[in-house]
Parts: sequence; C-alpha cells; structure tokens
Amino acid sequence: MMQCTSQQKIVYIFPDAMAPDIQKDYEKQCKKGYILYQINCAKCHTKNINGKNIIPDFTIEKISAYEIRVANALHSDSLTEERITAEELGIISTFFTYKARNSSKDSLKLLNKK
Amino acid sequence: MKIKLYTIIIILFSFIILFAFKSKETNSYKSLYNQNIENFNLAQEKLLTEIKAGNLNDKKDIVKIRQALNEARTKMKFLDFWLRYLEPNTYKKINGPLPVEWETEVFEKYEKPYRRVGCGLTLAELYLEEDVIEKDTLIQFIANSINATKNYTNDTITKELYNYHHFYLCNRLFLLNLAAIYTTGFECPDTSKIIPELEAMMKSNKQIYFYFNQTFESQALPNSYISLYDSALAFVKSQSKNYSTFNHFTFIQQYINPLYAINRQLILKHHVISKNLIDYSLNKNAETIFDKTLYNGQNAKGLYIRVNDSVQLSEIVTLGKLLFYDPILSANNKRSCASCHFPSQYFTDTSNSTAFQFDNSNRLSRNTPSLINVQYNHLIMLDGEHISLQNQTHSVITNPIEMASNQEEVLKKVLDCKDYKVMLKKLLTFTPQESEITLTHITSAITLYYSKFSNYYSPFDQAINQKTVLSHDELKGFNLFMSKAQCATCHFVPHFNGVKPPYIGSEFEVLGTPKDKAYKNLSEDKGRYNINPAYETENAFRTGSLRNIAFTQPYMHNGVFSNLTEVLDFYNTGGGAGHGLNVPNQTLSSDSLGLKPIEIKQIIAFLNTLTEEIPFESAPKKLPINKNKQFNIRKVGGEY
Repeated sequence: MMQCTSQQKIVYIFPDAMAPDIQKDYEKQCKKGYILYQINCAKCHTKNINGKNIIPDFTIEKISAYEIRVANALHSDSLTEERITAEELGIISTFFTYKARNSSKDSLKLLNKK
Repeated sequence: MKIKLYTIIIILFSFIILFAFKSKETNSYKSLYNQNIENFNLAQEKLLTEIKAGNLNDKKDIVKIRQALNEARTKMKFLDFWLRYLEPNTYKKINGPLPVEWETEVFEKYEKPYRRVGCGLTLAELYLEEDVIEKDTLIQFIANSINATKNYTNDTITKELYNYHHFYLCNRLFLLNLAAIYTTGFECPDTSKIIPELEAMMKSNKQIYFYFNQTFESQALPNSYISLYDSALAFVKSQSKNYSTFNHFTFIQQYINPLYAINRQLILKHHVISKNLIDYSLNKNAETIFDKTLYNGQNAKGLYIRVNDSVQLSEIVTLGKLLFYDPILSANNKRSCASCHFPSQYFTDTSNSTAFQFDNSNRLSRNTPSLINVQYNHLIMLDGEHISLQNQTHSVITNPIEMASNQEEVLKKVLDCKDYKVMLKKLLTFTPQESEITLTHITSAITLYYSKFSNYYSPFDQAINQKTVLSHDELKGFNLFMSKAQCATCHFVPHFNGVKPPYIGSEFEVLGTPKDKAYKNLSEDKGRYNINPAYETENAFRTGSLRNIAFTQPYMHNGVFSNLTEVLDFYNTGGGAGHGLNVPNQTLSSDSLGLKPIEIKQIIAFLNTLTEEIPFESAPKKLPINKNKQFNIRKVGGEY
C-alpha cells in the first residue's frame, strides 16, 4: 500500500466558467484521484525520465471507467473489481480531466520512452 | 499506363482471393461459425416466407409455421455458444425472453436503466399462443431477428474467432448456462422441447470443440474435458425427455460443475484474456460454479477495498461489529442495525411482517431483508434503489423513519467515543486518498462485518460439490425446482437469486403479491416503479436469494406469508393474477403449476438444504464510552 506518497506538485486547470466553490470541490476530487492513480496505476504508467516523474495525459475516452478494465490485457488482473471500484475509477478520470497537460517536451520524451 | 493499372488491380485481386481462401482453409473453426450462421439465416428466411404466405386463421398453416420455427430454433441453438457471448445485446433481438426489459447491468450502475426491446424466436413462439395473431407483429419478431443475425458477420465480431481467447470464455458462459438456464425452460416456452433441444445443442457443440481443437492445436481442449463432455451427452441421451423427470442434480453435479472446473483451469493455463464487458463480474479464481466467489457482486469492504492483511481486516470487522450493535448511530440513541437485523436470526427479524418505524408505533412498508448473501446482488434493496452496500447503510442511518440521524451528528457522536476515535484514526491510514474520517469509514466497517457471515456453505453446496449426499426427497425437490415448479426460471444457481449468467445484472419480477392473505387487494408497494417508473416496473421487485430461506420467515417484500407452504401455494396458483387480482404486467404465469402436495413437500425439503452452516456470534458485552455521559446509558443493540 502507498501510505506516504510524496505529493508531486500537480497543476489543475478548471474552466473559467466553473464557480470558485465548485472548483474547490473538483480540486479535492482531483487530489483524491491523484492518490488513487498513484496507488493503482503509477507503477506502470508514470515514467521516470532523467529523474523527473511524468504522468501521461490520458484522455477521458481512454479511461472510461468500465472499458478500462478490459482495454488492456494486464488490467484484467490489476484493475479487477476486488482492487478498485468503478467509483474510484471515475475519480481517477476526474483527475485526468483537469490535470494540466504535460509540456510538449515532456510528452515527446514520454513517447520516446515507450 | 491503363494496362499497367489493370494488371496491378488483377494481381491485387488474385492475392485477395488467394488470401481469402487460404484463411478459410486454415481456420476451419471460423468456417464452422460461418456455416452455422448461414444455416440459421436460411432457416429464418424460410420461416419468414411461411409466415408471409400463410393464413394465420388456418390451423394447417400454423402447424407449418411452427415447424419452420422449430427448425430455426435448432439452427440457432447450434450457434448459441457464440451468439450469447460475442454480442449479448444483439442476441436479445434473436432470442429475447421478454418483449421489454429494463436493465441496469453492473457497468451501467451509474446510469439510468436501459429499455431493451426483445425480439426473435422465443417471443414469436409465445405470440403464436395468443388468441388473436397479427401477421405484421409476427413478421416483425422474425425480421428483426434476421437483421440482428447479420451483425454477427461483421468484422468487429468475427475477428475474435482468429484467436483462442474468446473460446474459453464462450465455453465458460455455455457451461454456466447449462447449469442455470438451458434445462429449466427459461427461454423455451414448449416444455416438451427443453431436453431434446439440450441434447441437440450439446451434440452440435461437439463440432465446435472438434474444429477448435483442429484449428488451435496448442490451446486445444484436453482429452479429460472431451471425454467428460461425451459422458455428459450420453447422460442426457439416457435421461427422460420430460424436463420434470430429468435428473438436473446429477447433470450438474457429475458433469457440468466438473467441466466448469476444467475449463477454469484452462483459462488460467492459457492466460485467457477477456475484452468483453460480459466478463465484468465473473471471477476466474472460483474453482466451481458453487463457489461463493463465482462472481463479484458488491464490494463489502467499501473504502477498505485494498486492505488484504488478515489482521487489519479483523480490526475493521471488530469496529464494524461494535457499530452494528451501537444505537449511537440513531438520532435518539435507541436504535441500532441490530434492532431489525437480529444477528441470531440470520440478520433479519422473524417476529414481524414489517419492523417498527423510528417513532416506535407505525410500521415500515417492507419486511426486513436478511443481510446474509446481499453482497451477491448488483443492486441493493428490493427496488434496487442503491448501487452499493455502503450507500444502503448510509440511507438507513439518515432515513427519518428508520434511524433518523445525519452525517455530522453521527460522526461527532462516534468520534466522541475514545475507542472509536482510536480505531478509526488507524483505519484512516488504510485509505490514503481520504484526508479525514468520513461516514463511509463507518458504513464500510459495518458492511464488512456483516458480510463475513456470507462466506458459508449449505448441505446443498456440499452435495453438489460431491462431498455429501442429499435424501431422495431433497433431490426430487431440486429437480422439481429446476423444472415443473418453474422456480429456477427466476432463482438462478448458484445463489438462487435473480442474478443469472453472466451475472452482471439483477432481475426484477412482478408476482402480484397480495396485501394480505385474503387476496382482496394487491400490495400497494410499487417496488421498482419508485426508482424507474415504467409499465413493466410497476409492482416489480428484485428477486431475492433462497439461501437460508427456512429461517428467514415471513416471506415476500411485505412479509405477507408466514411459511413456505403458503408461498408455494401462492406460486402454484399463478401468483396474484392466478388468485383473481388484476395484475396486467405480471411476469409470472397466471396458470397453475399443477404441483401435488407431495411435490410441494419435496420442494420445501430441497429449500431446507440451502441453510448455511453459519457460526453466529453473541453481541458485544459493552459499547465504547462517550465523552458525553448522557450517551453512556445507551444499550447494546438499542431498545426497540
């Protein structure tokens, strides 16, 4: 279990039209989503490039809570219902929706690493 | 230039032709699939022609249509192995059991229920029984089925046939259906055809196995599987063609369950991967069909989902048990979970039809359900209001007519107890995504506590897993349950609840349950309609599990019946409609089942074998002390 995740500084971008108190609620969800990501996904998906941890920019289509369990062969063991709930997958989706995109330089590095 | 272009096109074309034929030759398994689809299409076209040409008032023409329908059904059964698995929603257009179904499958729980319209052969056959038959309606049932069948030749589906993965998953579903629905008449209105159809289907599946083994040599089914399957087929051939005298128990015990166990080992051995949502709930670690973990219903651990250490889990259970008995969760500190769910009575209350409301004078409208085995449902409550056990617990605590408390009050009162605070603070470290203690930490501990009593087995389970034997009457009762008594068309193995293979949704039924035993009025409870209003959902209730039924009286959503004989009489006379009540959308047949008193006794003898060997525990001696003295007079388990 990841109990003392070192909090990486993540920037979230919310639409301007979103009321500040709603933004606050979403930020709370995003932070929760970030921790759930760290627990359930980071081991395979976060890449360490020259000492810097880069989280990929997954799109919402890619992590739609239900399909994600069958989208990737490894997930049939790692993302079972005994390990993570659909609700939690939804929170991770929220995290990715509002996480600031990686710089193009980092995205490129990530691509090369794959 | 032009000639050159033509040459290129011709060469390219020849390559395509060559390739197409080559793949046909090398994948005999896929050829069989194509051939079976073609045969089914031809049979359906023939049926459509008969309907179009026939005079529906002429008995002779109806006989012809029935013959063509039977032929099409047989051809469909030769494909059932694939059709059901590869595209389950399309399959409903070919062989839908109901004209309209409202579904909330497990991966759609957060969405509104879907209205699914069924078409196809079973509905056409049922329609032929009606007094007035409209030709257009009949044509529609078949035309839609023909259209749906076309989908199965699309590349998106047929590409699966090029690898072995889908095969073992199709086979898993096939075996589960052999245990749960193929022998019960679930979708075969003419009961005289159930066993002959079963035999024909099992025989034709041998071809599927043969060509699969030829095409996928490295992942072929082993001889141990094939020979046991042959024995199963020989058994079916040796049995009565009447589904009521067919030995359902031996069929499952000696053949289907062991075949499932082999198939499951092959799934692990060949690292079979699913890309189909139909497999969402099934657990490949369950060794047999009657393993309680066959499918995943609810997450009993709640927030503590990723805690697997047994010491940590037992800490959560200890907390959950105290909370379960603690009336501090209610507004007046006089009611606990144990006020209605008596742990010594299978977590229900056998003394009342319905329990008292918070005011201690009015009654709630529904019978207290047992909490044992609720985790094997996808939707919770008889109307399916909740999608998780924790939501359900939350709603009882905050419901003004149940425990009448609220989130802030409960949290404050609980955390003002030093022991609780210490325990919950520790549990907070198990949920790093949560920054503070929430009501979900409390509800999750409660659900984990009571769910531990769902891990036990009954004499029936022991017998079906070949560890013990049942008496003659008990076996007879099970076989009736699976056939003539029509219980198994709604209560599916292994949990005998409304969750059928592939175990991704809960079924609701309209039975016409009366308000009281006088059968003068229908119960006023609208059931599922309250959550999802529609013609089909009025008075519909989620099918409950029959496990521990001998000790969970009174029965039905309103506790109207006090013993199983009354319940069986209700069904034997065709439910509410059979008793003269007006229930236009009843899903239960209003005809009598024709069960004799001895048969009712045998069914009850079988139901008694579903009593699980659960080691019940006594209540905690005392509850944690609260800062505020006035709360310390509260009683373990509450006052009413």
